[in-house]
Amino acid sequence: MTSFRKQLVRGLIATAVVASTLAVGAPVFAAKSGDKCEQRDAYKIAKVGTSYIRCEIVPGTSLHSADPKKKAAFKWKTLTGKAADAQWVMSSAKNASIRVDGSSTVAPLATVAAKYFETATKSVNGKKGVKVAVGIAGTGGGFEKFCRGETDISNASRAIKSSEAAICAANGITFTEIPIANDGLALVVNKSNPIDCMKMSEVTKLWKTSATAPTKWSDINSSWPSTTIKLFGAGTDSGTFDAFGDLSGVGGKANLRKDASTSEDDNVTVRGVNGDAGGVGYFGLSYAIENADKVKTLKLDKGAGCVEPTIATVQGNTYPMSRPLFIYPKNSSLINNPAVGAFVNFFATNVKQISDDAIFVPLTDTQIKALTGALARIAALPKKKG
Amino acid sequence: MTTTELVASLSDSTSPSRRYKDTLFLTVLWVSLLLALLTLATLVINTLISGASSLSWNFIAFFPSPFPEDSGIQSALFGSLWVTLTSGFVSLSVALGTAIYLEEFTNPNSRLQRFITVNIQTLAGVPSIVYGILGLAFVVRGPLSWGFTVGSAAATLTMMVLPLMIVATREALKAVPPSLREGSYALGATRWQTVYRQVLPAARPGIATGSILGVSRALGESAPLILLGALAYVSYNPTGFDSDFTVLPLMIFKWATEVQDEYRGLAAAAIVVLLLLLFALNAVAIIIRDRSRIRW
Repeated sequence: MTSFRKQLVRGLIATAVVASTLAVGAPVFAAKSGDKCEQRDAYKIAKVGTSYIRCEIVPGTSLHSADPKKKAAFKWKTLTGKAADAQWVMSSAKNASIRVDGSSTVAPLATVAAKYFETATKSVNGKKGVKVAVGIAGTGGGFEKFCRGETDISNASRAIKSSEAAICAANGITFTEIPIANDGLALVVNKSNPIDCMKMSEVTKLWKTSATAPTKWSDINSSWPSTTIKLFGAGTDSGTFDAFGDLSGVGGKANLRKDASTSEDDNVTVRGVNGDAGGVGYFGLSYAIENADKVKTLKLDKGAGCVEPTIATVQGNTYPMSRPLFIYPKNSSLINNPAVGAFVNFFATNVKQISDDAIFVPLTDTQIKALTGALARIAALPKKKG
Repeated sequence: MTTTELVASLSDSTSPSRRYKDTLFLTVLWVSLLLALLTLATLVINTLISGASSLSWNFIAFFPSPFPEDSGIQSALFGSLWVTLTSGFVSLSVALGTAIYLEEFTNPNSRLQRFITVNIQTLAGVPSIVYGILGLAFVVRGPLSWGFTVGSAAATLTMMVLPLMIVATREALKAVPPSLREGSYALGATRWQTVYRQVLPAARPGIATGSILGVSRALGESAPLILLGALAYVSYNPTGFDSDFTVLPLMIFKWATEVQDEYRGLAAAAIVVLLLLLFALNAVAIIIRDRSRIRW
């Protein structure tokens, strides 16, 4: 019994040591503009005298660069002008938690924003920084929760449907729509497939439910190989599935072929297409970029020539399968919880860096105008008294 | 033929066909055992190899992050501990009470007893996702409306493991020989004294094993939590029952579906940590069982 007790005491001491090590906060920093900082500290902000410095990614470097010389580096940078004050005010939000849920496509973007925002508020308020939790219920599932009042912000890979908006209205939930980034849907095939470009009419033929739906690639275009087509689709609850139903020209998700293997996990599609000579699938552009060594991304042609999905073609909407992504903050949260407003503002003002880091296509100038308009509407919301 | 001769002829192992069958049976047993062990070994070794490079102190101490380089599982680890310990404690208490009542205080042949027994056994076989639906409708929303919190997850997992624990605890109580109770009564002990001083200590090994198996199941469960409204990114530890949280199985699920390949290593490392936790729990069960074993 003694030895058991000894073991217990030892265990407790070990636990206490671990807990106290974990409890020691971030190291105190005394830095000046130009000093190096860590990726962990990205968007940390500090007041040095009357000016503010912030840990930022060095321009021209990227978290996702294949070129080792351009691999992400972080340095302290002096913030200037009104933006500096604004960043400081946003980072002063404290002691609140924000619940974000919705599209799993938008989640990586919201997660990067959440991480930076938490780092920023914690650097100003220590442990009283804002807590942001991000869920992945899917666009539809997210709106269902949002319109019940369970979340503060809903992520969406499509605009809210009128049926969803009606439920929100019935529950007295008002919201502000904010465009936050763009995404291209990439159509990918096996590396051994000789096809490089497909006409949108061929994409429609490939994916539309019909009695004469092609079973071999040569059924679509006689110059193509006679390998059997194997379709890999997105999960039927995902916004990606909805978006592909609209963008592929089949006339909505109900008309997409049912004989595709579907999965909520895009990595399953990558593995499937990689392993099957006749495989074809679709997913967000970021997956195509990350998996360029495993699958071939097709160019698409809607009548004006073959277009490769890139930042420019998705932004310019010349790539046929492009879609905007949104966040929907709840107005009552914006009014009652200042941290929600601060987070939305932080997300919006740092959106270019955030979409770069999460491998999303940044907003176009027109969309930025829409975003600025939305922020102005948010600023005009009544403030909670007291 | 005398009895001795009969026994000798029955146990005669010189007949070739009987020996052949014996060897065959043993071979089948060995093959089944090897298959089970090989599958397990392949899984564990595979996970260890892909997770080894990501396993470090930082992996335990850091919080989840959108970037694989500085991702860790601290919040998931604490979330798992909060949820599992809460549901383990509550379900063990309730299961003990239910099992003692059913085994020691009711007539095993009464209709009510049989009705309850059948129901509990059915509940023990219900898929976990059904408990997720129940939790969503009654705990997260509906009458309780606790939201997706530590409390509602613990409540849902409690509902899930409770029937298992009751069945296990009842089996443990049943295994205590009736002579022990009768001896206690003969010495003038009341029913409560008999249960508390004789039956429970004697049944402790069985109860410990059964309940820790139940807790292990709660620890590894993700399906009902996904239905309740799992959060993918929580970078802080739970502070109470009304707190947001994430658990290890959810982190593994999330990381396995991430874009970047580095996350596959993180998912494997998280699986290793989860396995270690499960091993530790089972070790505790074995220690308790061996320490409190009573031989008659």
